[in-house]
Amino acid sequence: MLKELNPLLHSQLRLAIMSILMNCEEASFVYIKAQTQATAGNLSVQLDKLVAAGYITVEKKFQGKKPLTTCSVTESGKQAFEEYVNALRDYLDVK
Amino acid sequence: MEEKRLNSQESLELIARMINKTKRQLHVGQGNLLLWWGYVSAIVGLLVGVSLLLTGGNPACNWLWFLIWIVGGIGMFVINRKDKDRIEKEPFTYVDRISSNLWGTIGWMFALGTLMSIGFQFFGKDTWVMMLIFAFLLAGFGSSMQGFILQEKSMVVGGAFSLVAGTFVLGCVLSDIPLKVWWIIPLFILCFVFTMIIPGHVLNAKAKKQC
Repeated sequence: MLKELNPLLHSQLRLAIMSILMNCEEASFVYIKAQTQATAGNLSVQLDKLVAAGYITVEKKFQGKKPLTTCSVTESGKQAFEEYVNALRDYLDVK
Repeated sequence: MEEKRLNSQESLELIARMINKTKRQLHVGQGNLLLWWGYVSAIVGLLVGVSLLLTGGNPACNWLWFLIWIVGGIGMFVINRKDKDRIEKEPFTYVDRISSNLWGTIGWMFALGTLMSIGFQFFGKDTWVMMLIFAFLLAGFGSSMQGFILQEKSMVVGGAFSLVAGTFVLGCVLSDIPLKVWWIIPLFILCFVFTMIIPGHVLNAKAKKQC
C-alpha cells in the first residue's frame, strides 16, 4: 500500500522552501523570496507553518544595521523531506 | 509561487528545479581574498628580502614580516565589509562552512606560530625561520584542501608546490644548510604566487565567465 504524502510538504511553496534549505546550510528570507518568487506575506505564513512543525528554524539577526532573517532546516525537517521524496518515488514507481 | 497542491510528478519537478537553482555557483570576486593575501605576502616578502640585502642581514628586518598581519588583516576586514550584502543574496552552503572553518583553523595556527616565534625572540633565539616554514606548510595545506573542496586544480597544484617547498626548507634547517636570502625569499614569493595569486585570478576569471 502506498504511503500518504506528508500534507505539510505537499504544497508548492512549502516544498520549494524545503528543497532550497535541503541544499544549503542556511538561506536568507530575501534569497528564498527571490528564488520562489512568492510575496513576502505568503512566504512568512508558510515559513511559520514549517517552524511550527519543527521542520525549519528561523533566526533574526542584524548584519551591520540591517535586519537579516535566515532559515535553516532541522534534523526532523530533513527526515520528513527524505520520507516525502521516498513516498513520491513509490507513487511514480521510480527506482 | 502560490499555495497550491501539486501532483507527484509536479512535486518531483519542483524539487529538481529548486535544487538546480540553489546549486553552488562561483560569485564575482570569489578570488579577491586569495589575491589580497597572496599579493600582500609576496610584496612583504620582497620588502624583507631587499631590507636584509641592504643591511647586510640585520635580523631586525624580520620584524617587517608583521606587515603581512597588519596590512592583510585591514584589507580582509574591508573586503568582507564590502561583501556583506552577498550574505543576504546567496545561501550559505556546506562548502562555505568547510572553507571558512579550514581557513579559520589555519589562521589560528599561524597566529599561534607567530606568538611562539616572538616568545623565543625574548630568550635571544632567532626563530624567524619557524614562521617561514609555517607559512610554506600552512598556506600550502590550506590551498590544497580548498582546491579539493572547490575542485579547482590550480589550487591543489599550487598548494602541493608550497608543501614540497616547506618540507625542503625544513629539511635544510634540520641538516644545518644555511637559508640564504637570495633563494629563500624568491621561493617564498613563488609559493604565494602559486598558492594564492594564480588560483585567485583563475577563480575570478571562472566566476566572470559564469555570471
